[in-house]
Amino acid sequence: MTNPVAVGNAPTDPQVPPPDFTSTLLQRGLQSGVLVLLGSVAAAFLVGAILIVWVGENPLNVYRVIITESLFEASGWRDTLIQATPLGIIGLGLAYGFRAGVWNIGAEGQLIMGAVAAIAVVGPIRDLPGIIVIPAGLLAAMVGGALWGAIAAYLHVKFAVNAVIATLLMVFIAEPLLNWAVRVPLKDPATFLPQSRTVGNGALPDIFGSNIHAGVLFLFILVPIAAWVMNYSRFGYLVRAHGANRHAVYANESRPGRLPFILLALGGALAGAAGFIQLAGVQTRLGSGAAAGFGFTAIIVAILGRNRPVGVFLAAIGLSAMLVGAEAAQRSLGLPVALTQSIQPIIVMFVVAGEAIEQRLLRREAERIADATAAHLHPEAHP
Amino acid sequence: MIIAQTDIISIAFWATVLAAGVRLAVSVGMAALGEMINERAGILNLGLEGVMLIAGFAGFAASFETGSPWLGLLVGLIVGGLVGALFAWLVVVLRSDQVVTGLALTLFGIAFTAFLNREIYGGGSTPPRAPKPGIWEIPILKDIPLLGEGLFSQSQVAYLAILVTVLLVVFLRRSYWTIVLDAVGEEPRAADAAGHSVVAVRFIATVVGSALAGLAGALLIVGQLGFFNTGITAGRGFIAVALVIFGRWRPGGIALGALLFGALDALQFRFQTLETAVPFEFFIALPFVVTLIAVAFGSKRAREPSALTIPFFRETE
Repeated sequence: MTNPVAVGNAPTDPQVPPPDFTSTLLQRGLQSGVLVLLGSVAAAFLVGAILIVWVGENPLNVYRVIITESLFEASGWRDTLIQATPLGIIGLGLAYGFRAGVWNIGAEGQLIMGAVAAIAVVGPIRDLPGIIVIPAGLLAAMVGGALWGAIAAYLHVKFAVNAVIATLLMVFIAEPLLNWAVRVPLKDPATFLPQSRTVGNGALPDIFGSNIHAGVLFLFILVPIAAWVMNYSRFGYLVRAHGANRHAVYANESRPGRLPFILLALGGALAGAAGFIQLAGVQTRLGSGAAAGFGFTAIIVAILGRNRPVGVFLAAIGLSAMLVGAEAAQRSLGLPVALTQSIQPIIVMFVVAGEAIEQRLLRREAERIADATAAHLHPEAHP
Repeated sequence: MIIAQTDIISIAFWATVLAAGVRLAVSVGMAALGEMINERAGILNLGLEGVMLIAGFAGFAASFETGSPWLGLLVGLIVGGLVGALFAWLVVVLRSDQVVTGLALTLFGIAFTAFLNREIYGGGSTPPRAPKPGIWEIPILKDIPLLGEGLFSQSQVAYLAILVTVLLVVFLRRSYWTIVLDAVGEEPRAADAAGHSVVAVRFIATVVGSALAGLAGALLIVGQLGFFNTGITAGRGFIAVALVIFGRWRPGGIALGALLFGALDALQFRFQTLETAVPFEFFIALPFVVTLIAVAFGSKRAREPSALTIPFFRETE
């Protein structure tokens, strides 16, 4: 096998056409990336169809309901955008981590602590104008989430604790803390339920002329910024380099643990922001069900978005539409949302499996091209 | 704390905590032992929580429908192995990313068992209960103060779990296959050169590991609780992954960690019912806090198998 790049001015035989190796590798890689994704979604929906038949419904009818209710109804679009907002915001933070190979699995806990911090700050000042209360709440939530992420980051960087374990165990610590917070210190004295007072003037206003809260704009502003930073800034370069070969980055860094630390705190800050947007835009009060699984679904969003900001945005819309449609199907057909929630991880498994197969095919293709090139340049050695 | 002082220092209090601790430890310890086996072959299974839920639910259904908890445990073991075979096919044969596939398996397990539970058993707040296996008291020994109740008056499945653990530990200590297992997890190329199929060893190790995790799920749900609820394993699968690190990939250390976690979990249940100045939610978080701290102190000196999560390609492929 000869390296095709290193041939220089090797003799060429004009009788033999040169092998076409520029197009195949690149094009096949790009095309099959999309093909793998579409194929995985189709395969997962097929698995879903089997489950739907087992439950005694018509899968075509169910999928029609899911698609029309989430994408072709005005209220469906509204709900899809509103649910995509926390998924996308958290997914962006996770994607930065995943792209660098830093596994933050604890967004659920970071979201919870962000929401708790937000309501703790907003509570006493909730009668001030919204222009003060909303930024204060958002800032508190981002700091709260970032601090919760930073605890896991500290354990990961200073004590070499596996990031998956550190971030995830923090979720199981955040959940009881939330339950205590809404039962004792932050509880609304006017009710017997374990929930906080409302956010008051901290409630997010609707976007002009619609009934969609302004938090959705946060996602639309964040996506292009995140995409630019990932692709064109020094920080984004470090993130990508860290994912490709962290030792190469550490060789040039005076403090090797800094990037993972920043990424875990950043993931926490964005999860916290999502917590505030849910609190101030949707729930208005903090209760024990504050996180509602967004932190875990966002992991799927980041992975299906290929850890690229625009991809994350599209995946957030797609998965949100699936969930909104599934809720409609639960209302009208009695089909559990849990069925749709089990299909989403299946898509992920198919995508990574498809990617692994694609990698192997590309390896073989690369070897075939290398051999063909070598045979073309040195026909005497390859009879 | 304003716990009644007599309560907390009485031998009876600690005896019941210890007894419950052993009960809670056998499940998480079994799952950790399973994870240890596949990790030593180089396969990280973060789907452990999902395996425990799927196998535990299958075991519960078998136990509920037939009235036999023993059959439930067997079903848990087999279903765990089957899910493990699926996971192994993805990560060992196709060489999918282990972290992503494992996490997806866990998310799938949580949602899928919630779906099945709702469809089959209504998924309500008062779930149906399956019969639990009996208690087996060893005469005389059970009357030993403090330790008697914990060690010699346990559910029959606890003895089974302890027996399985001991057999496994002896097997791993004495067996040629342990050397092959470690070779595949440390230097797969050398194991391959020595004529062992890396793919086969990893596949079998993953199936065995998941089967034990399935048994662990059944031990918890069938052997101990007798009912199923959405996400009932409550992070124990991930605790098990943490215990493998804490125990430094050795059965003895893992058993010790499992007992520590079990005791804390039991203590947490006790403290919830006591009138204390400390809110009960803090005790719920306590086992996770301590596990995290324990792993933090164990991780620096721990050395994971060299080839963990790294897929193996033969030169000729």
